Amino acid sequence: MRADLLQSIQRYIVNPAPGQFEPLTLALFRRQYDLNSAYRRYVDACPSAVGDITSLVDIPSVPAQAFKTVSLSCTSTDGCAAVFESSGTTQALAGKHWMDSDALALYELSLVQGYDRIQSALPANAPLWAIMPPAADAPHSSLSHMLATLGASHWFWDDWSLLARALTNLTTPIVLFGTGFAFVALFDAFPETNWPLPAGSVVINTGGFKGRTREIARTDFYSLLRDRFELPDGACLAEYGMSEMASQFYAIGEEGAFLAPPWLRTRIIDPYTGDDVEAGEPGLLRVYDLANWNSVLAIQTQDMAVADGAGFRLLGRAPDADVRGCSLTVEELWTRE
Amino acid sequence: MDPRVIADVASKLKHRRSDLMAAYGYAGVQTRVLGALDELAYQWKDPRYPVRIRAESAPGRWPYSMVKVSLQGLLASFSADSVQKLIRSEPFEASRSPELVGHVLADNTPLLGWVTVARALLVGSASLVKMPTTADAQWLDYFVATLGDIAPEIAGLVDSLAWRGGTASLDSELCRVCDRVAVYGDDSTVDAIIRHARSGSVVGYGHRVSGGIVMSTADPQTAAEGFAKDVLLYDQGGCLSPHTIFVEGDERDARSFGERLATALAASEYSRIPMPPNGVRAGKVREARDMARLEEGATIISDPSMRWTVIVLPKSMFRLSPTHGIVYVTPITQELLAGSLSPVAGKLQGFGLAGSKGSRQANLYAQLTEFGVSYICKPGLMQAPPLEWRENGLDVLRSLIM
Repeated sequence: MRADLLQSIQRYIVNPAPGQFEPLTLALFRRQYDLNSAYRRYVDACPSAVGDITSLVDIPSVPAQAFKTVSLSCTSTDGCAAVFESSGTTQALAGKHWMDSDALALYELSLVQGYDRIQSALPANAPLWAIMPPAADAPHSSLSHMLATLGASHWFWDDWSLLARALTNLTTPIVLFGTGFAFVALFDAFPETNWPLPAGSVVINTGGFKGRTREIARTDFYSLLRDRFELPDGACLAEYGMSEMASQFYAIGEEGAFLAPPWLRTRIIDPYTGDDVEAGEPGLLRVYDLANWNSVLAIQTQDMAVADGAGFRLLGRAPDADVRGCSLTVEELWTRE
Repeated sequence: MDPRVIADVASKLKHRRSDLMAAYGYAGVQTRVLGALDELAYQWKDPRYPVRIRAESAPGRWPYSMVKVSLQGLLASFSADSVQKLIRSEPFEASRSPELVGHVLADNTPLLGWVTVARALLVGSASLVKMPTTADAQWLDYFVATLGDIAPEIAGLVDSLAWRGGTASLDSELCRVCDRVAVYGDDSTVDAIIRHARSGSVVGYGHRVSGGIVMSTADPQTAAEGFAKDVLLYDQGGCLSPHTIFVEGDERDARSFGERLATALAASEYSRIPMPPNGVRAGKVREARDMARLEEGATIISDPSMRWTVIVLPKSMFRLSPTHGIVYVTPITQELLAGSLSPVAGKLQGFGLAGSKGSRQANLYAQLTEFGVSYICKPGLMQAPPLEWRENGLDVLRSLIM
């Protein structure tokens, strides 16, 4: 049964068949309810009886914050193959996403398949450069793991001169993937330098700035990316994910909406009612991630968003919400150094 | 805003102070301040006083109907007798009075400006108040307007400017032109100002939290009604807003009090004062309620309009609330209190205490004081501290002296 479900989800991620998402989601929910004791306690404390949960919208979502306070795992955490941590000013405050070997394999499949879906926006066969610590140095960083899984060939961290030199010497297109504040740190370190990237190159930024380095308005940040790398807007991509999720959203260009792969769905929730907002109204982003095998598939974020076509736009984190986001784990490492 | 604006305002305030000192001497100025505060309290107690009428009808984040509780407590302490008592309790040399005190205000409670400026005036200093750009400045304006009615020369010692917190050029200019800076806000705000200021010139009132205790001898209904008021005022955003209420007894006693508190919150006139629509606030309330569902044995009693939430937890522990009317109720024995408070030791500000008397009260006071609690009162009075309250355990006048 478990193997059947896992294989069905794997098949769906590789080749999504219409009408399969909701049945798979409900089956995964049932599995997580049965095996994840903290989640079961949560579901049982919700107003709806578990037997009444018959559609996606009925599935209780846990706050992303819950990963900081309880172990949301279907298996013993002792036997987990990996744990990815969200940011937190101390170890105790970090959210932990536990993955057993099946979950890790599904996560990696989701990473690769999700990245493949944006290949048309990327240069063919171009090397992937990562501005973050290598996975070996940051074993609990989901972002470093992601870039390793995607086959990053060059890693740059804490030596902006090295990165600046490497960028200057480029002759063929690359994909340059980094956190927002890492890009800003590079720009600040070399305020007079531009690095015109070879035609076809793409930059992908992830994460925010709140409370870290200096904050820059989104519009200004995209201007900086375009100007300093001399790239068109369509070559500036954004990735949105979090350590609590096994799948990612991507957006192309400053005005591009974040789009999900078929195995990841969202709702925008009215924080007062808990129901979907009216079309075009802002609300809290809720995600349903079919690749979240070992933890919980339905997660309520504190990110405000508004629907945009088939995707959504982020309006920023709730102003007084905790500083978080997977990119911040990287910065914490940086701060300690 | 250009930093020169701050310098200009500071210069004007210093000149006015200098003129006033030349005309009346230090003792004369202090006498005038005492008289002005006493008269201010008298005027505000009169429902026909025009500035009060203006405040009563003004919209705003903190309407008069909410602020009146705090106002009553504060005005009582503005009487000449109370203020003289405060001055006698904190003797200082007039020659060490700062010319100009800067005040950096948070916007979580409305009367902060009244308190901190009154203290500065009492030590003979002019005041330059830095308001946050998000703040409703009207309550400080009422204070200055009333001083203007009573003693224009004293009102002339106070001015305010608003700028975005963390604007280094402006914050550092404020620190440069002021002899002392009293900072109210979270710890990072205080630290940021300290970085700009001369060593020892900042009086920081950083992040603090409060709680409550219901002893087995308390009248639970009175306690519930009082704590309901303490929770609801200012959307629980003040450093004297209770986060956790300990109930002497077992889990059943805590649940019973939690239910009573929920009823009192629902019935309170303050729960009918709506909060401005705010999706972020609602999201945080929803999140806190959801998080409580993960706790073993939690009981959640909540208001559909999201004004308040009572979360009863079986384990004795001080829990920090995300505020917005979310209060934790947990059982306690007196012996366990110390352990339950240890996570927030040094960060505690006030405690509402219901039903303790005699030696038990003395014992509790001692325990709470040891944990840094500087204000202990009956439930319902937590948001009404007097001027002489030794906030953060500091001498409120002498801390401003150079």
